[in-house]
Amino acid sequence: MTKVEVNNVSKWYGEVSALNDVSLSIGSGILGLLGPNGAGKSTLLKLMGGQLHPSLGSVRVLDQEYQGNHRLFSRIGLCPEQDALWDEFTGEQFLMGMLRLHGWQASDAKKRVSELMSWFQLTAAATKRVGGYSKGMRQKLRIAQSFAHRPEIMFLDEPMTGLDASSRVLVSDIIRDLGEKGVAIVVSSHILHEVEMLTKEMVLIHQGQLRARGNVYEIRELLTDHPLQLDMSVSNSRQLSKALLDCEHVVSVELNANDPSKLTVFTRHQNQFFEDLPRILQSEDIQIERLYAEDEDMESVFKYLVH
Amino acid sequence: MSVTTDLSQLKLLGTLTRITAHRVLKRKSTIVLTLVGLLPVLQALLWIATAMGQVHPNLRPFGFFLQLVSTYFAFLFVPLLAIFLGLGVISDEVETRNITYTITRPLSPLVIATGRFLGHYLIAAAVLCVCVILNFAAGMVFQLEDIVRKFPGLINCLFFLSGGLLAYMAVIAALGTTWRRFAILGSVVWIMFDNVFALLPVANLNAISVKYRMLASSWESLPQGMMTLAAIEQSPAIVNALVFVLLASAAVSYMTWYLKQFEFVLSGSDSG
Repeated sequence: MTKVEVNNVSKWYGEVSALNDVSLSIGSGILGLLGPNGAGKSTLLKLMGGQLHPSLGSVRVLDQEYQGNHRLFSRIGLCPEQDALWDEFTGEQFLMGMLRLHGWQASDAKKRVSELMSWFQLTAAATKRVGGYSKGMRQKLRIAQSFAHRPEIMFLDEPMTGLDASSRVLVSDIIRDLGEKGVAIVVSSHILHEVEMLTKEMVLIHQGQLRARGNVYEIRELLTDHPLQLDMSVSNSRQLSKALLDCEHVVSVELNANDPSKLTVFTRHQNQFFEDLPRILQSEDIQIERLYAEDEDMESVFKYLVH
Repeated sequence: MSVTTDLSQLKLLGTLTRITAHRVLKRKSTIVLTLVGLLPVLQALLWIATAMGQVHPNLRPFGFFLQLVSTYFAFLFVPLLAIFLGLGVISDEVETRNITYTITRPLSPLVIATGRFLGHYLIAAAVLCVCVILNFAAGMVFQLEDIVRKFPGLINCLFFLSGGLLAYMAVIAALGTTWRRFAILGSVVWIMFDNVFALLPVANLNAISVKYRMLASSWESLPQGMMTLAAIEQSPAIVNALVFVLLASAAVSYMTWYLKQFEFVLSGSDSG
């Protein structure tokens, strides 16, 4: 079921175009929104989160529009990027306030706050002023408030910022758990491995336009201009390279001068390659020791797409 | 755990007002402002201490308290409170980006503007009342009979000072919403003009001066403590109170309109 529908949305700030004709539909589960700084991620997130209005196009969330529909906010959660919190309050009071503003009864809110503080390992700091929290604690509190009221959709802007390694694992586990329970979660980041910890499903955005969407491997398949690079160790590299060069999808093969067992293959179609390879290995009677896709990770995909 | 939520806007208005008041109360600036309002008490205590427990012949009577109300509270303290707390209604919240947590809750713009204004006003009025009452009590500590006799006069003072505070805060909150960077300067300039309008013998200018309306609501003639060209004529306190409430309503309406148009990314840089 589609929970967020972005239809041909453009957004300008004066004469500066932040987003250009973006269309996107989002269902349950976690979706990564990736792009370098200034790509338009935060603008898209704010449009989907109801903090901005599109200059052109429309945004529908849970089949409703935001304009004049403030009740819709009770069904969404937002973790803003900026380091703003109610510093005068204790962590407990802040979350309590957030829940009370969502119409929760005090007794229910109190139970929920204690649950959240425990999940985020903030119980010891619950009665301390937020102004005295470390950067990581503040970030955890921001994430906690975004789903405290049990929203159906969450928009998390750079949620891993300021978190140490153990907190990243903790937060990733919580977000993944929510995703598995059917909450639609959009996570924006310019750091690839942060998103990779949460999901393989992603949208790449650059210069205000959507460049690609899908599983990281599917996206890699689309990149025909950048052949996939595969490093292999085999029993007979020369024989294999000869056989591979007969395949239409193989662009080139490089033999390693120092190690005769190693070769590097460049192919335009990953799937076709993995279909052909076992057949070739069998027919040529070649043993394979190692196969590694050098540029299959998000970092490479991302680099290709934005440069 | 099943949870019942109530999204009635009236109830949420009460919640937002209470939360806002709680936040304002916890700010250091609120404590500092309260101390500023209590400064004249120190003067009275000093006099009492130097009088060695004797009734000092110069110990301040009610007349001196009225002078304090007119010069210190109406001229300085009420505008000071209005500037510091009025700018917190929308302006400071936008600057710190904390407005995000309010505008992304199921609250209508009217509830946000009203709740935030009321939360700030309630604390400002409480600080003002505490300071005025303590100054009244300290100044007349050896004149217990006068304290009882002049109590209605104190209530009158609290009434018109709170009314003036409402009007000042409303205008400053609205000013700050639009011109955040120049809000303090703009507010000081406006208050100066307001004071000048109270001093000049021009009825039309007097009518638009908050300070004039404040002083005109006093039952007793207030000493202005500075050169004044206009004789302050008493006018019905209820009429002045209505003017102040109308001013506050107009300011809240303006802030509501502003929040409807509001796109907070415009107020600062957007990183991505």
